[in-house]
Amino acid sequence: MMDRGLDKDAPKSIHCRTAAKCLQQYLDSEIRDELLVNAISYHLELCRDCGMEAETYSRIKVAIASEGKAFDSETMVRLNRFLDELL
Amino acid sequence: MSAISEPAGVNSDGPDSGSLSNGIPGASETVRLGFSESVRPEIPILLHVARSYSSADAEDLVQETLTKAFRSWDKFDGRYLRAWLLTILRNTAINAGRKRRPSLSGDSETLEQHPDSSLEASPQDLLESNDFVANVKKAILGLSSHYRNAVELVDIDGLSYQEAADVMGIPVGTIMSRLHRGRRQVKEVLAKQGLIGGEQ
Repeated sequence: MMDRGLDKDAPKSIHCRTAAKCLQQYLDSEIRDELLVNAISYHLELCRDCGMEAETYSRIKVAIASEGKAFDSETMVRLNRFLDELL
Repeated sequence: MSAISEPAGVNSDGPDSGSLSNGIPGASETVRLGFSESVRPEIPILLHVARSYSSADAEDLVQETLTKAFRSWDKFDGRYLRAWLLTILRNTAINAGRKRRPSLSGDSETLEQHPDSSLEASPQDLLESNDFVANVKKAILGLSSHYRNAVELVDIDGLSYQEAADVMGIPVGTIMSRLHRGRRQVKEVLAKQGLIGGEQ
């Protein structure tokens, strides 16, 4: 595997403070600047503390999301039927 | 006049004043098909957000939203469908006097029924994962409603910051602030419980 530290095309490095400031938006895919996204990804790979912080928030996000995955299938059937009848 | 104005193009004399199940006469097959294909995938999100307003009549709220949306479909500008639908839902809920509630505490769907984040985990991982998830749930319930609503809309409902801001009727920056503070508080609770490392 290529050593990214020697890669001329490696993303621009950023400081921990910048990574921390942008972390939540990064995890929520709310950053539109692709260069910044790549820079944060690169930083999280190289910086142990920031990488662990990102991993922790990712786990929390997944845990919260698991609360709302399933819906009552009967309710969904009724609502889809309602939509059909509405049309 | 309604307490809350509808988004552009939405008829306020929607289902509140009549039957919910009436079809809309005059709409072409193309329009009906377009509405169906566009809106049907959004029903789960609408239902989840509706439940955050009222568990008892969430289904009615979604039906009212669908009806109002269809009646105004020809005036929809084609952009930001989810935000448009959620604004209709929110306004309908508020005009009907429903209040947002902490949905995590009252839903019948429990974490134990949907531990899907650990489908491929070992038995030990499963135990630890369930413990982690259960404690995250408890921590969420301990948040103030402002923080909890922001976290639920983004992390459970999958809304973008802008969509969540539209639903709550607040600026995007406020959503970001509440979301980040809410998550940080959850993290601090988990750290105190030894489930994760402390602050950097």
